[in-house]
Amino acid sequence: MSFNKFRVLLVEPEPGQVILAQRAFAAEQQRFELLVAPTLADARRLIRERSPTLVITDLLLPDGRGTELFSATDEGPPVVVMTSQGDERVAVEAIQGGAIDYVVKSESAYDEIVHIARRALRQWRLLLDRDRAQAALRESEERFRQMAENSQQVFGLISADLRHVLYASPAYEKITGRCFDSLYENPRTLLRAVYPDDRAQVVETLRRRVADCSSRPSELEFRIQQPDGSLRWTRAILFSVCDKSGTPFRVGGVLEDVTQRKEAVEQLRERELQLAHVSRLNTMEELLAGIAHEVNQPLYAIANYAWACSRALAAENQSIPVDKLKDWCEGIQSAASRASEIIKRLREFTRRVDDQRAAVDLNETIEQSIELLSYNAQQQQVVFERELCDASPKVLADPIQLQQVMVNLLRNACESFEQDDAQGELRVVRVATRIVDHYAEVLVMDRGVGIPEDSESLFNAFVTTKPTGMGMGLAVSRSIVDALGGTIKARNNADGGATFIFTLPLVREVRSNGSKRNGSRGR
Amino acid sequence: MDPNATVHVVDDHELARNSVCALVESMGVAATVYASAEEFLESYHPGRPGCLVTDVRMLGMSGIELQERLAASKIDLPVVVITAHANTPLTVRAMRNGAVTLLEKPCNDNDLWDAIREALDQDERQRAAAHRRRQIRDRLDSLTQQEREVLDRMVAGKLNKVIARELDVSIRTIENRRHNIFRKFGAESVAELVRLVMESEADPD
Repeated sequence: MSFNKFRVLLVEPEPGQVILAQRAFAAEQQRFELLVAPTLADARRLIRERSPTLVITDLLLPDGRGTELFSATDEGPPVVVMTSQGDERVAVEAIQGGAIDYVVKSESAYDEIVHIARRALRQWRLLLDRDRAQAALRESEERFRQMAENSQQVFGLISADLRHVLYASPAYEKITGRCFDSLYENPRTLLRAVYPDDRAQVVETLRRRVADCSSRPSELEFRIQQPDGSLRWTRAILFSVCDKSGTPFRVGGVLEDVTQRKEAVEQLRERELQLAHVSRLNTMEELLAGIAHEVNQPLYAIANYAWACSRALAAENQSIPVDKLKDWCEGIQSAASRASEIIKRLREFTRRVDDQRAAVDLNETIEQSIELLSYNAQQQQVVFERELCDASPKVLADPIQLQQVMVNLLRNACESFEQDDAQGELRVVRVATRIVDHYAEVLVMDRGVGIPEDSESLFNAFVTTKPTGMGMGLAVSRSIVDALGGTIKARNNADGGATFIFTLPLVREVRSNGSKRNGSRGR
Repeated sequence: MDPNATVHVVDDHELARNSVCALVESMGVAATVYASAEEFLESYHPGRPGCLVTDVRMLGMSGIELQERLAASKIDLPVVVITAHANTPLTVRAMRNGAVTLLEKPCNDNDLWDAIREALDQDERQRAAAHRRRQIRDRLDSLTQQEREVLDRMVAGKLNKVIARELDVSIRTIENRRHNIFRKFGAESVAELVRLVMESEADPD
């Protein structure tokens, strides 16, 4: 209730009537203030200047009819018509015209005028409330519609029996390439838009939503096939709408076209793969002379063995025992397979890979990487010391990419030594693997010149300490290790040189084996 | 070829050294393999006939360094140098050090075979020459002081009477001493005598 006084404007040309009215309102001075206007013009002025809460007007005024105040007070106070001349027809007109009430003037009417005013005000408030509620509802609906209709996402609501689409927002047409009407006619249209391979997943999720109200909204990604055959990737969030007893009676959902996002992610991944490949080719180019040397070794051996065999088989020379000849032939065989092994490694390493992950034995990868580097390491008088854990830790990775990380780290270690220091003395690079919790850890330790204080900067692209380096090796290594859910870092050793460490999550079945082994070792 | 000859094969690549060993054995010659220059130096006894086949790039001491080490120790073992990557400075250094030849891996057909044969022949020739030098020195040592004085002057191309005057003895005495010198050397002319003396002085090992 308002604590302000109600200001009532009485439009009445008859002074006698005015007095009656004033008398009636005087008893209610606490709540009402009475203004009086004898003419239409006065009334209009007072409405403008004093903003009365309620207008009570006679029908016939010296300068016009009281009903004219309706239009003047369109935005203004409610009007009660009080007349002695009127009949039913006038009453209907007055109410239709906008009067809130119509009262026949009588002697007793003035006794009740306060009551009439109160009733009119109450009525008015109810009307206002209703209008306000309706406006609010309209606005809320409008807001929702604006959101739903302008959104790139599809909002939808389906009955729990999955037979009726209760609502779907217009983006539906854009995402599916199908018209709305078909959806309302037959909800199965929605399912038909789903790419056949993904349908089972969608149906299964919908069923789960209908069955269970308690669980968190389901998120899923599936493809939509447009009528022209093109595919869109969508991401959906489905939730159950439940009644008070917790029984789902509707399923709601938001569907979003994530094709572009997916393509962007895909492109990024593609670029990373390309970069890794280029970096591998670059590495290989630098290792190639060494690898050619490695291939020459078995070729040299084959040539020698073959010559020895042919000499031994020559007529003038029968003194070579058959066992020797057998040995030499085996020598040829093992040299040939050695050569093809090296070439296979080379081809694998430079192959364009598609990030095909499998359980890879880290120790094996290390051996293969050392093999690729063997000649270059020898040139730099480097020997590798292995401290590999017996458990042969397996990690989920693309074997070639993993080898790339390993080759990068081992190569850096080989090149970390000061030029010309300790000529003729062997330089040792230690390679260790170990299992720490659910991770495999690989350490590459050198005795070289160490790394800059800010070791993190080493992992940035185009940062290199080598005159011929591209500065890609460590950056690519990091992106590979990151993508596999691992970490890579570097630090200087207390007693000289640097250590590079990377960790990768162990493949699950090895995890349990590993911990078992650790346990038994502890005993 | 010396039946006691041994070919020493030094290569840190197992397949490579074993294959050279086979090649050598197919010649009917004994071979010994070593994985490093250090290993070879440890077990090698100078004096035995043979030759050395060594790779250049190896972990530790290189083949060229090994060659230089042998030369510094005055060991006359003929060396065949093998490398996967021949370059001019390397080749020059190896040849200056007295390598029989330098071959690139993999070698053509019987290049290695020929090189090893050549090295063994060279070893045999060197041994024969050394033997001869030793014989001449023995003969020189068998001369008396007076005979040696006469020989020196004969080699210098002096006539008997000049030598007699210089040494203040009779021509007859000089002729006696000359006779003894020819006998001890088994030489038949002054020219031959001069050649033998020069030969012994050519390489003072």
